[in-house]
Amino acid sequence: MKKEDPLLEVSKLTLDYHLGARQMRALDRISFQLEKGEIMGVAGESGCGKSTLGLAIIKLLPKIANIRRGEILFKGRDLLKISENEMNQKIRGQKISMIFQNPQNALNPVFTIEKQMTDILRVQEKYKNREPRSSRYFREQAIERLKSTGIADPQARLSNYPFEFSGGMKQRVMIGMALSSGTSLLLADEATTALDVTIEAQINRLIADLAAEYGTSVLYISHNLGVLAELADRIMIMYAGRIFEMGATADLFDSPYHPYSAALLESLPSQQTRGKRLLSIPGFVPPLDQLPKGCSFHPRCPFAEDICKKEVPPLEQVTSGHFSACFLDRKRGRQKWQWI
Amino acid sequence: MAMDLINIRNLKTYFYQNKGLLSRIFGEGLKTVHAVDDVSLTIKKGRTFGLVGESGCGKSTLGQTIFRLVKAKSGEILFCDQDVLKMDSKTLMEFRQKAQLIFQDQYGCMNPRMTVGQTIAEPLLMREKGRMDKQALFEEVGKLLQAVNLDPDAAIKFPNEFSGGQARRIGVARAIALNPVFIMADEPTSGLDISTAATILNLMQDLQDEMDITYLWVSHNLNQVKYMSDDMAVMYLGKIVEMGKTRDIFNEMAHPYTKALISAVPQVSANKRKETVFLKGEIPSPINPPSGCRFRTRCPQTMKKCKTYEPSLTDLGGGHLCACHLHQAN
Amino acid sequence: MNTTPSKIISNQMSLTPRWTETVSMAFRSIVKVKGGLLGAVFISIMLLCALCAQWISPHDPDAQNILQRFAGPGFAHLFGTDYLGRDIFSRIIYGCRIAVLVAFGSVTLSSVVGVFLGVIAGYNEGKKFDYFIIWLFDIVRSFPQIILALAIVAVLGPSLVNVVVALAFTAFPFYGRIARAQTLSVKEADYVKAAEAMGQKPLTIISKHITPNIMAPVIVCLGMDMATMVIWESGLSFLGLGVRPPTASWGIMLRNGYKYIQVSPWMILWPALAIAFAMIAFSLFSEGLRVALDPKERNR
Ligand SMILES: Nc1ncnc2c1ncn2[C@@H]1O[C@H](COP(=O)(O)OP(=O)(O)OP(=O)(O)O)[C@@H](O)[C@H]1O
Ligand SMILES: Nc1ncnc2c1ncn2[C@@H]1O[C@H](COP(=O)(O)OP(=O)(O)OP(=O)(O)O)[C@@H](O)[C@H]1O
Ligand code: SF4
Ligand code: SF4
Ligand SMILES: [Mg+2]
Ligand SMILES: [Mg+2]
Repeated sequence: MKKEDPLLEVSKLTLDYHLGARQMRALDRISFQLEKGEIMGVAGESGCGKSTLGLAIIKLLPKIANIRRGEILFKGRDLLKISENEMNQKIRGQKISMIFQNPQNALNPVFTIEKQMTDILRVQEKYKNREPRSSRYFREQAIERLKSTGIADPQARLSNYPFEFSGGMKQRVMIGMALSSGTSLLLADEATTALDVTIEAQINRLIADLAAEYGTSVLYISHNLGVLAELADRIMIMYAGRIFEMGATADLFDSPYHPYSAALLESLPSQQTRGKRLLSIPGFVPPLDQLPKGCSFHPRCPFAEDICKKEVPPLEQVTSGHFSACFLDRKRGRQKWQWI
Repeated sequence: MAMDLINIRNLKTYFYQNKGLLSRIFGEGLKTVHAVDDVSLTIKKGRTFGLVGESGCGKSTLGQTIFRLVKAKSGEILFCDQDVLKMDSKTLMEFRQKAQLIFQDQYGCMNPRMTVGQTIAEPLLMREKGRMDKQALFEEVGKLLQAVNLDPDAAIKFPNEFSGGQARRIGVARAIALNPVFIMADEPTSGLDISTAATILNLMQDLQDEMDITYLWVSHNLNQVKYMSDDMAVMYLGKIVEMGKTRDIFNEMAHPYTKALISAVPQVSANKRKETVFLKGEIPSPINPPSGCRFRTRCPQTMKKCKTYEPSLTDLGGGHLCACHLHQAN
Repeated sequence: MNTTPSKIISNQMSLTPRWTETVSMAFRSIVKVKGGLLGAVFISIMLLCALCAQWISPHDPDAQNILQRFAGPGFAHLFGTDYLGRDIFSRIIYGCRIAVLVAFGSVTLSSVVGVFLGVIAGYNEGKKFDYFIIWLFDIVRSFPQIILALAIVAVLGPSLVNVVVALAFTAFPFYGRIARAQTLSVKEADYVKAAEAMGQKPLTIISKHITPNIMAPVIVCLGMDMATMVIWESGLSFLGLGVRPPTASWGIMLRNGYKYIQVSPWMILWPALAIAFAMIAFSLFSEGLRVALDPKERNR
């Protein structure tokens, strides 16, 4: 049987932000594939380019971003070559939708929730070339969407302004807008950070159902490794614009190859009891325009050797389907990294 | 025995909707959102009080009411035996400099037209009444940025040039600038990567050890609350349903909602995973809270009397309070 | 423990970007908009004319030459001469000074007063002061603008300053309304709450946190209004209630030209064109501003 082509294939994607004279390399040769119905979890230090990756795929980057190289094949077509018009009419919001990291910015403070939701629904409907619908229809749709994300009394809530919603409720409005059965790719950028665990579990189950029943592929960006462990099929760990490790979830979490992934797992509060200090990786992420030579992690990596300061470790397959970018990972094998 | 820093008694905060005259005459009338409904709690000096609960249950509102950013309907908030709700504007301003807030919305809490440096410098300038040497101010801002693991160069950038996690850290830097005695941290690490979150948690613990800061810690991350807090409360729809020492609550959770909450905590290691209790049933609205026990529409153990009688917070022993008929004597 | 490099001093010892950078950024984004550049060029021409009128105009605008009345455009008089033999081109240039003065003066005055009142009213929403201000706005707005301006000038007497004051008075409630409405939504923003929670004084909150964030729609309105003000100044002058003759003002020139329309159409054509030019300049510029200030059109 011929294997199906992947739904999304990103290869060698390289992107800079231009800030005056500074060039910040926010994505550096990112390559990965996403199969139909697969959920890929993305984690990594804050500021390492996860949101940028999502924005690049849906082509909503700020103007100062500049894609240097690479392609983003979605169903075999390069999204970077598709016109803005077609993107708007056929792809964004229909085939690919995104839940943005900060819902407060995505909602306009001067309009009611109802207006903002129905406006988006209307635009989506318009490009589907269906017969015109009544405003009642859109209102009901909006209510339906709010209900699916667990907002109580949606009829009454529609007339609220964003500031009358709690943080989590705003986030659920955005989720409700993005989750529809028609999408083939969902980009969820820290979609549930403001939600309590019960609602989070409920929404993650909704996403898992979408993936299982409708074959929606999901790029699920989250800092919550627990959520990723339960939801994602594969995990991608990023650092300073690069992929450091990528592999099947259980595989990666049980025995990470890369010292950075190991450190992430080690810094979880659940591993420690009160009073003990949490592991935090010493130093901080360098500004993206002043990345060190060689492995960008070497100033913070206690295992660094001479070669790490000179050459960039390539992302290579270590075991079947498990990639890692560290010079020492093969040497050490699956032995545990001893942080602290 | 630690001193009480904040003592909240029967606090109620309601929001009113449909304020317009027309909708009041022709519409459904004035609606009341019972955001915080009769909450009493005590926060001990130098300790961390964790507050967890469903999204939209009134945690942020409770915190903002303490600072009088939203108007309380009734009740009292004693800060060092002074009622915040009755302070005159001068005392209130002094109180507000001693107490600080880390906002839930990391971008929204920064003026988009001020640079990050100006944002962090604002409280410093206030303390010095505007008279501060430029060099000293600059260095102080740089130190604060470094304290939260940011590059001092960040000072001249605007908030929208930062990633979500970086923006969050700026909020933390601003809150600790004035060495406050009390910080209400509204999800201070949501959106932060684990390593940075760990840095912030360590930092805040160090501050607590050094300066005896008291925290009201709102978070959805139960592991974090377990790790950080000494005491905690679980809120549901504007009311506290369980309260006590963090250790007791995690070890002997009594309320069905707490049980559901703790069971839903995602775990990294497969062998630790438990069966998640998915809550079914209608999610009630704070506009019309259900009669009797507010959790009864979704409670797996609901009984007949839950519909008519509202359970009150009762002591299960050792200061562990729970509001559920399952745990009430009669 | 945490090894933080002790790099505190950055290359620039300041908490803000250099102001030149800010200005050039703003200018670049206006110019990027179609028409914005054209508007900016037109306005620069007008400002140049207004500032350097004495050097640009070839003749004294008030010098009469009875022998050269009603001359058509030619080398001696670029735009021709009027019924007193005055050089129309020079008068247009000097008239530009009046137009610019009135436009900027009245718009600045009305927006400063309007925004000030509107922001304070909005910040004190629901208090007595707020009701008073709304009532004041509504009363002023209930008169047709031009009639109100006419009445004020009629009472104060025609002069440049009185025209500016009268026009400003008719327009300030509009700014006030916009400012108040914007304040109502901005004051719910978390950054305002953050400043309050810090113990910041209300006046500082208003000036530092609210006002800068409500200015975008006000500024757009400013541009549009300048165009209107040019017209109204001309209108008032046309009716003899504006600037005092013999001062060169486009409105006065129109009025005089109107009387001699059959003798010499040039007298009315040039001031009319000048007014249209000013209108286009301000409208294009304000459209550029609108796009430049719209956060959705900028990056992120
Ligand atoms: N509009 C912008 N202008 C300038 N720099 C930007 C902009 N947006 C992002 N950056 C920079 O690009 C880098 C990557 O940002 P991005 O938002 O992708 O990070 P992230 O991985 O999503 O982080 P987080 O987990 O904190 O959300 C950051 O260092 C950030 O400072
Ligand atoms: N300014 C306001 N006007 C009207 N209603 C409000 C306002 N602020 C909050 N509410 C309502 O009060 C309730 C409690 O909101 P609050 O922000 O305190 O929730 P929360 O517990 O912080 O939730 P989350 O975890 O999602 O942030 C919600 O139903 C919300 O819609
Ligand atoms: S390549 Fe070297 S510096 Fe980089 S992570 Fe591996 S050991 Fe550390
Ligand atoms: S009182 Fe009744 S409904 Fe409420 S939590 Fe207890 S058992 Fe459930
Ligand atoms: Mg992000
Ligand atoms: Mg909240």
